[in-house]
Amino acid sequence: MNFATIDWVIVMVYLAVSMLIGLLGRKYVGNTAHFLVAGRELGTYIGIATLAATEIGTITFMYNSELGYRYGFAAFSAALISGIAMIFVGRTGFVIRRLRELRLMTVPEYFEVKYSRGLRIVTGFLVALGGILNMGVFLKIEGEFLTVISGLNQKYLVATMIAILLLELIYTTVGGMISIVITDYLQYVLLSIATIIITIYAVHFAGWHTMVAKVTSVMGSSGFNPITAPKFGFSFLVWQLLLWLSIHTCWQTTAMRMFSTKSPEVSKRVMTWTGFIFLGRGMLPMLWGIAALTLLGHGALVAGIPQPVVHGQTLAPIDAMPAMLSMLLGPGIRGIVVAGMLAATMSVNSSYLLGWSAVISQDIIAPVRKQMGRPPVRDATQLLINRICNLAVGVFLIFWGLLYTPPGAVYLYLNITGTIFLAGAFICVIGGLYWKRANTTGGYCAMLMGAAGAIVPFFFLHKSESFAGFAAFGLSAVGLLIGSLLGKKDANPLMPELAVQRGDSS
Amino acid sequence: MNGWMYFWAAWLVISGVAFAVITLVVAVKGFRDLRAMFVGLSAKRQVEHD
Repeated sequence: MNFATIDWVIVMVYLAVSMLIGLLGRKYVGNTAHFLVAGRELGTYIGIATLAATEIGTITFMYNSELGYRYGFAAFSAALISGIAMIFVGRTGFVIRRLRELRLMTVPEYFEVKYSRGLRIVTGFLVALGGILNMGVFLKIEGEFLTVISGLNQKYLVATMIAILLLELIYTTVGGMISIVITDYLQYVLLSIATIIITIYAVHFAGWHTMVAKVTSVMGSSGFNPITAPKFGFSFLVWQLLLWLSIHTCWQTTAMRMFSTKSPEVSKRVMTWTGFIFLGRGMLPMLWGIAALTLLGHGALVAGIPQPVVHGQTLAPIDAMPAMLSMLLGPGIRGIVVAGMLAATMSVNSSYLLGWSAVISQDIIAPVRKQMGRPPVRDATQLLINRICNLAVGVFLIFWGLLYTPPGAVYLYLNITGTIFLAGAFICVIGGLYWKRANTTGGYCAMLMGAAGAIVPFFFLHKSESFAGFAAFGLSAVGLLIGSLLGKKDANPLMPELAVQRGDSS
Repeated sequence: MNGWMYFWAAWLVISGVAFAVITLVVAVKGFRDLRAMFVGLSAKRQVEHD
């Protein structure tokens, strides 16, 4: 066991405080809009805190450090693209401003506004399926981090992860987005402190010049040049650009933050400033991975990369970073860092729980009821449905997350599973917002061809992630174009200018 | 290779400094936003009750 008493005290105090302030949110929940989008009351700074906390988890640190370990400084290109794309979306208001003007609560809701209820249900199903499966690997990776850094006995790991998930579930189910925003604020501050501490330790102990020398000796120029790096290259960079543009505009948990802001202008500011945080969100943990390669990378070569070795035991590259931290951090500091990582974990998981369960309740259950001719439910009943969906997603995650192990680099796996629905959703949203001819037939073609473009080449033809990513976005665009030109014009397409007629400009 | 190394070093410094500075600003001003959000939500609930 690597944990001292002081470390346990710090972690327990953090968990108790987090739980208590999370429960505070309950007294402000009056209706579904309060529960799902915090009554659209988010200001700029709290918006930045909640968006950053939502998209920075232990899983983020783990997969980014793994990328740094495997691909060296060339991995920074993925982080740079994610940050620059976010700043671009924030500065221009690309997609997010128009979606915010429509006063939506979920991304698939737009599909009924612009296309049809049927397409909303199909999109809701694909978004929920892809999103929950995507999140399904989080628990396993986070569990590995906790086990390695704390030296926790494997037999207590499952119980610990279930306990953490239950804590998140309680305050998410009770207070919805309001509880999440309150806890995100605390969690953002804590995870940022942990990030800065780890970076200082990593650079201090590994040394900048030693890290550069190690990457040079192991990878040569490919460790710096993303065009020549294995698994990277020009096509990878273009796919990353498309993927990150779609994540920043159509990823449910990110979009919910945009929908929760006070105005479209606030959403643009939140997105812009969070873009700068995204640079660090990627590059700093990648640097930890390079430090871990420098300090622990002495094992046998696998695909040209030396495996990390600790006390004679060979680990997987993804476990190198927590193993390095368990060696470098002293008592007290280790507790603060683990509390910070737990904060990161809880902020991501709670937001994702709410995000995906909101899609099930709002975009599958509610429209299916409408389609069957059932009357709309009362707001209190809708709230109850949201909470039940929350619980159901949580229970599924416990089983799926602990049973399933993703193959290969986790970052690339998460990217490709996200692409399954993001390619179609992104193309449909852009087409719907910026092309008058886009119609429901084109929407169906784009969603289905986008999903097929990601699934068939990657899972069945065993093509690279870049190839599958390109295929997904390309086929989706072709699907929207051809489907819209061949299909009948929609009877009542809602173009963005009609948002003003809804009286919903803020 | 040196060109790429300096390029990544520069971006690393930019991202690290931006991360630290934005954290500091958000920690201070975010708390103010949080209080404003509570006031706004309470007012909305009051209107709904009335």
